[in-house]
Amino acid sequence: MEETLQEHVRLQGRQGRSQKDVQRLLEEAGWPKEVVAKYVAESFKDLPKGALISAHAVTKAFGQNQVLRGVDLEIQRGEIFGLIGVSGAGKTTLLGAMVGFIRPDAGDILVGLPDGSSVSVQKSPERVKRLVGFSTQTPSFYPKLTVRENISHFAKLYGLADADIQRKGAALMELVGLGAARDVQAFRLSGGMQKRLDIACALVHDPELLILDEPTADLDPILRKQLWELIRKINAKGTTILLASHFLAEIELLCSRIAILQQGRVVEMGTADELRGIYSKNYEIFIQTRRKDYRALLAKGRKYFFRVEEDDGELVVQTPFPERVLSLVADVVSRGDLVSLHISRPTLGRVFEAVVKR
Amino acid sequence: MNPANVAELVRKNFRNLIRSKIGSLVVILGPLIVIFLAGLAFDNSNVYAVKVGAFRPDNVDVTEKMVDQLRTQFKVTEYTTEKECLDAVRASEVNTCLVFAPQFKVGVRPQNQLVFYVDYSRVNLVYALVRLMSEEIGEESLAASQDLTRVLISTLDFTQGEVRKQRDLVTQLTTENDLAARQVQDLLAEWGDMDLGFNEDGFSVDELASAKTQVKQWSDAALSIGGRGLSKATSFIDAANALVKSSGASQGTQDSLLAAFKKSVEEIGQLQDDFAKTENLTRESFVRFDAQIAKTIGAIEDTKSKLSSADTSREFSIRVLNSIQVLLDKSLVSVLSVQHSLNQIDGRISAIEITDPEAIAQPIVTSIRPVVQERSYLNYLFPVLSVLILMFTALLITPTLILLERNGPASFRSFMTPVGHGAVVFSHFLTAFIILAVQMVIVLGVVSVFFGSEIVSNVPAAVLVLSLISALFVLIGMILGFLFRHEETATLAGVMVGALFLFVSDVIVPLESMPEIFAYIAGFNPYVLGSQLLRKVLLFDAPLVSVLPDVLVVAGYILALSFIVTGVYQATRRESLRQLLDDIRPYTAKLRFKKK
Repeated sequence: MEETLQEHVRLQGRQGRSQKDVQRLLEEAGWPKEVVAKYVAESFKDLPKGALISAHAVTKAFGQNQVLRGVDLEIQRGEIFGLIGVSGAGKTTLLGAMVGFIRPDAGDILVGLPDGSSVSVQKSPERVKRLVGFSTQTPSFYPKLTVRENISHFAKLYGLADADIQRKGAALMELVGLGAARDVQAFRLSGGMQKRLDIACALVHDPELLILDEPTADLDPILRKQLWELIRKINAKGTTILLASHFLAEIELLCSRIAILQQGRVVEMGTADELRGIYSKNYEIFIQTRRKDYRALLAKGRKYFFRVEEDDGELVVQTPFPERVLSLVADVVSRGDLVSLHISRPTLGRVFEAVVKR
Repeated sequence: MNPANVAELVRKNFRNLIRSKIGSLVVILGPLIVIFLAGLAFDNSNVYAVKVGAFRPDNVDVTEKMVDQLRTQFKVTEYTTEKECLDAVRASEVNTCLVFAPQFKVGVRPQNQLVFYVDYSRVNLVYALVRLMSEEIGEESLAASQDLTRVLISTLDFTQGEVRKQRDLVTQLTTENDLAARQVQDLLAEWGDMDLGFNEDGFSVDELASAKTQVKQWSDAALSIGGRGLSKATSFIDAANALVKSSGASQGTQDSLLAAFKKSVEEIGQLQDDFAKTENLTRESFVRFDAQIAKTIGAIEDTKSKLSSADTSREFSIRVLNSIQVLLDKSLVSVLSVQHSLNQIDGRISAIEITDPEAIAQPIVTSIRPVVQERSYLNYLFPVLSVLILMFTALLITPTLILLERNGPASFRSFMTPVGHGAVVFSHFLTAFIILAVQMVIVLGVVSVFFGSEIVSNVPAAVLVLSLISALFVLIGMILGFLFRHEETATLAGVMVGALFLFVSDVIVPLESMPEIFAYIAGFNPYVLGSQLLRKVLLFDAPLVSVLPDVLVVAGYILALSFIVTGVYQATRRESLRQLLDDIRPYTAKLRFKKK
């Protein structure tokens, strides 16, 4: 029981939660305060300190195109960090720089070591490669090799012993759910399986940081969900994840912290709630009627609306008074005319759009 | 460079290659097809399907025979005009056009002219055609030449027989001439010694006449004295008789005296008679003697005259004999000269060692034989072909391997592994090298099994040389692979480099026919170096020691190319150039500072 608790606490710590947060959560869960204090203190004692990877004023230009303009970023151990930005914002360049694939023009990227020291990606690329795994948007493996062969090939290149390769390979295949497809050539796998194989290949050396660049692009919703589960499982094992994606929903769903990259700069960074707070504290109400005539509603509810948009026959209203707006909808919309009514806090997408427009 | 990493990368490359059906086919079937086709094409020394056009202005037997002879080897088409025949060559309907001279006749100029036209734009065929036609027409020409030579030889044989016969006669003539000369000489000696002079002292006719007269005088005197003696004896007897009678001697004495006297007178009378007879006889004898003397004198005179005449004749004869002797001497000299000439003719004819008309017509039989006893062109072409396969395979597969890795989906994952650049570069090299080795093994196996050629006898040397050549071209391929970003351009570059090597080599045009400077440059062509090296080892079984300079040159190339490959790899790596500049910036800054 105590071991389970200790492991749980360690995991929480590795995932970036602060000692105080973990202690509070455990107390809320009903654990005795003394016990919680003891195990949390012991568990956090051995946890690596400091940021796992940090970018400091990183700039990069390709010719006249200034892609990164002094990016500052810190990713804590154990967290799932989201990186969003429009196409051309510099996400992939920043990720490339983080693994030494792209050499910054200025600034530095440091990878923290368990002992608290750090190494520069530019100065010690080989060492950094052993600490970081990278899964690109397009799966990166040998299509003609089987799942097992791909994993064991990259494991060998990372210097793993044969016995470790067997063990690690089996565990990874189990983790990513490719155990049954171990002897299938990679190009025969489905898109989701290929993505999982790619992640498995990125994990063969037990990296501290796993960078996922658009992991769910081109995947159907079911596969996407499966991959989200996988990401959670990987993170649950203590691997820090840096997730760059266009799918803001998955960023919102998975990431503990998010950075918005805009024109080569990190323009916003924080938790999803923090970002939403930056953007708006209003609710969003989505109303769709058969007649698509919202004039009466708009006329009556004008004083409650913070912002109104009409998108493809759907009225989107931002309001700090959702109850009143809903009441108004019930009054104005005639019976049988309502098609859909949905209320939510602003999505990350809305935040992102706002940031981009800003 | 971790060997385990290199081994793993190479293993991965081969897994990829083997699982790519087309890739495997290219690796395995590519060289097989090439060598199979080459083997079929060059497995004999004949030129098949050569089409020959012929134009014969006149239907002469000999031309018909020659054309028929050509028909046994080639497909011969006859044309009615020379222009048609030439047009057929230009249109590639035939490969060569033979044009016979009007009234073609062997051995008679200019009727023995035979021209064959070839299309020199078909460089590779033209030499074979020239050779073939030269062989075929040469055979006909040779046969004619042999016939002519046979006539000459038989004439010469007859001449020698006659000379030998005549030489015997000449020898006999020489002997006889010599004998005659000696006889003439003897005769001259005899005649020279012969004295036909008349010694008048020995035959003093006057003295004879005088002696005769004297003898007659003396005879007459003797006869007269004898007559007178007899008369006187008679007178004396008469006187004695008278005296006796007168003496008074007894009668008996007288009578006896007188009888004795009488008898003496009778005897004297007899004597007188005898004397008279003798005188008569003497006279007669004298007359005869005189006549005889006269005759003798006449004879002597006659003899004298004759001797004089004979002497004149002798002298004449001697002169004639001298002339004869001179003539005989001259004749002998001439005969000896003739004999000498005949001997020389005979000697010369005998000295003709080659009397076989075929040998005389073709004193040197120019059969071109291989320095290596093999039965097909494949063996001769094998080194060139092998290096060609190695070159193109290396120039095409190596960049493809590199670019497949670089542009392939796994490139980023490979980048993310902590494998050193040396291992990556070396794994590319090793993969391509092993592919080439596999291809060479396949090629050698196919050639040995299907074409029955013992290509490799000096295995270690062949392996070393093939390895060096493979390494050389793999490194060139690697440069292309690192220089270009796309497979298409790299493949194009590979083909172009290969074509360049091929054209600046002795495959299409012999190096010896190139301008000197061009040939010199071509000598450094890796393809030329490689193929020449392999030819020495495979065809001539040259030991390694003898090809060591060439081996060292190739090894030097490999060393230089290794540096170039490393440099190109570093320079073309993404960001590596910038990295390099960054790395050297402190040093360049120091330099600038020092300059200031």
